[in-house]
Amino acid sequence: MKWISSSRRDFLKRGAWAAAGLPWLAGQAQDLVQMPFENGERVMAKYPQKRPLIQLTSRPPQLETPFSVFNESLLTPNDAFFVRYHLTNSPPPQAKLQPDVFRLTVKGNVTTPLTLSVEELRTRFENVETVAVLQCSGNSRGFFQPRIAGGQLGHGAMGCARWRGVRLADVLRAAGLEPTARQVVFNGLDTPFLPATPDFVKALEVDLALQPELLLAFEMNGEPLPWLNGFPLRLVVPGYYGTYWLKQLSEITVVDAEYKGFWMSTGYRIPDDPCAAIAPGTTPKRTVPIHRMNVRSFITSLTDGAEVRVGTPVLLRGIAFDDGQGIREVLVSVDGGRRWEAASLGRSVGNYAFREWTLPWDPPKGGRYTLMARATNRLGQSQPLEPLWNPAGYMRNCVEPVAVNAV
Amino acid sequence: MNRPFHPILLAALLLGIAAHGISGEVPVEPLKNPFAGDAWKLPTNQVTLKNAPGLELIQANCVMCHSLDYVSMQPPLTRAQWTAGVDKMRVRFGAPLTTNQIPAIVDYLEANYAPKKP
Ligand code: HEC
Repeated sequence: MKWISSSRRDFLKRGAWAAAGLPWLAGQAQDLVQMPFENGERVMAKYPQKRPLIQLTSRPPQLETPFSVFNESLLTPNDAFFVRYHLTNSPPPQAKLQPDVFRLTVKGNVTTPLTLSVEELRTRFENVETVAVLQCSGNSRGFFQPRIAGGQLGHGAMGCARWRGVRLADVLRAAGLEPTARQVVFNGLDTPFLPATPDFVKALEVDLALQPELLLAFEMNGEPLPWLNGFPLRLVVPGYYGTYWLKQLSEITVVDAEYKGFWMSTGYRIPDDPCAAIAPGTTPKRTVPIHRMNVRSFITSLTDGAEVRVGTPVLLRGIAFDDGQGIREVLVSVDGGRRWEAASLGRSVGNYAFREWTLPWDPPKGGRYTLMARATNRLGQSQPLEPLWNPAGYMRNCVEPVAVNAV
Repeated sequence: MNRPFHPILLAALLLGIAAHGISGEVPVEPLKNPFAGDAWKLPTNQVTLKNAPGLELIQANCVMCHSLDYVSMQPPLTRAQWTAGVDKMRVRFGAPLTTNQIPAIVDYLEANYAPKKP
């Protein structure tokens, strides 16, 4: 990461932005930010129920969370939570989402097809909660080298929320799976402009769909889901990338064969190897649908270019997460990766959640320091020191250095 | 900058888990409907692309499904990459283009959104 353009001074002049420790430069107007990669100028745009967020696209909306938000709380506030839609008519119009209109249907290879309002779902099935990270497959794509076409995201297409809903498994059991059931197919109310564009539909294996962690959620952090995050109902698949967490979920179809729609068979695929990586610029031999998240960690208390004072201890702090194994350890280096020290882990609020880490640091002398955090989960999976590459720009999880100056 | 995470938020989070756990209960209060009486509008802050020869081809063919920031946010892409991209719009997403329309569209994209030649 490095500063681009000569406007670093502009950035520093802006007290509020500098105090917030944003890794971007404030542009001419208050509502422009510069992501730390080429062609990274973005508008801060205001959408319903949202504070100004980093706008990648407006139609359909794709909005990124400013990174400073991750230093404010472990749960990402609803009004700062990122937004990612694919199809033109997104989010679906409010008229289709009103409680007396919106229905979820469960059909296909089931004994008792269901049609349920959210209120029926909520009162008929046990209500459960889980704290889980939702992260876009392409989070951090803007940092890939060589660069890749697609959403040019910084690190802000992730968030951690407390989701409340009913278990998908309970609803599937109420519908009664036929013995031939193989996959469960999910569709939301978002639609393309032309019928020729594949509808955004995703599928999960039946075994996964029956895991008790998967929810049909109607609440996020104690509030109804925001419109742009799926109101009134979305799928929650803890540990899996956001592409499966369908919003405005209206149709569940149990099928007896592998579902082959575009967004499973062509889109959202990764190289079929344990690291999901190949040599930059090459084409994978075999691909599989993207699935579980890898281990990541971030320093959130200091951002690139920040100043610290010699002789004034600071508390280095950040977050770590994985696909639900649980974070075992976060190591921190202040010398570019030569020596590493174990950070203290904050209290766990669930294996699928952001885990806080902290480490006091007293910069011994003036100069430039390269800070790094590296997490390991209970399976021993960790983060590479150098970035890995794949053709769609998914699953970046390398150590992200932060350079600061001690004065 | 170096405060621990907001204590009230964290306490609320932990209490929430303790209170609800993963065990269930039957809700009594009705769900809130955030839309009641509200008609929310999405902003219509559409971007436009560089004003250069060929822009009219983009405006005619590339705005029906998405805003043009899909194009302007991309990193500099080579002619081959832009050709593959526009072909993806036609083949995968059903953009109503004929193959002989594509070179002129790519001419514009290459002239304005490709890596600078040294
Ligand atoms: C028929 C609908 C349609 C038309 C017409 C269309 N696109 Fe797209 N475009 C899409 C869809 C769908 C996506 C992918 C959306 C997503 O994943 O968020 C997309 C994505 C893109 C992207 C992002 C990179 C990528 O591959 O996802 C670029 C760049 C792009 N379009 C350029 C164009 C250009 C240039 C034109 C005009 C020649 C065009 N589009 C016309 C539907 C269309």
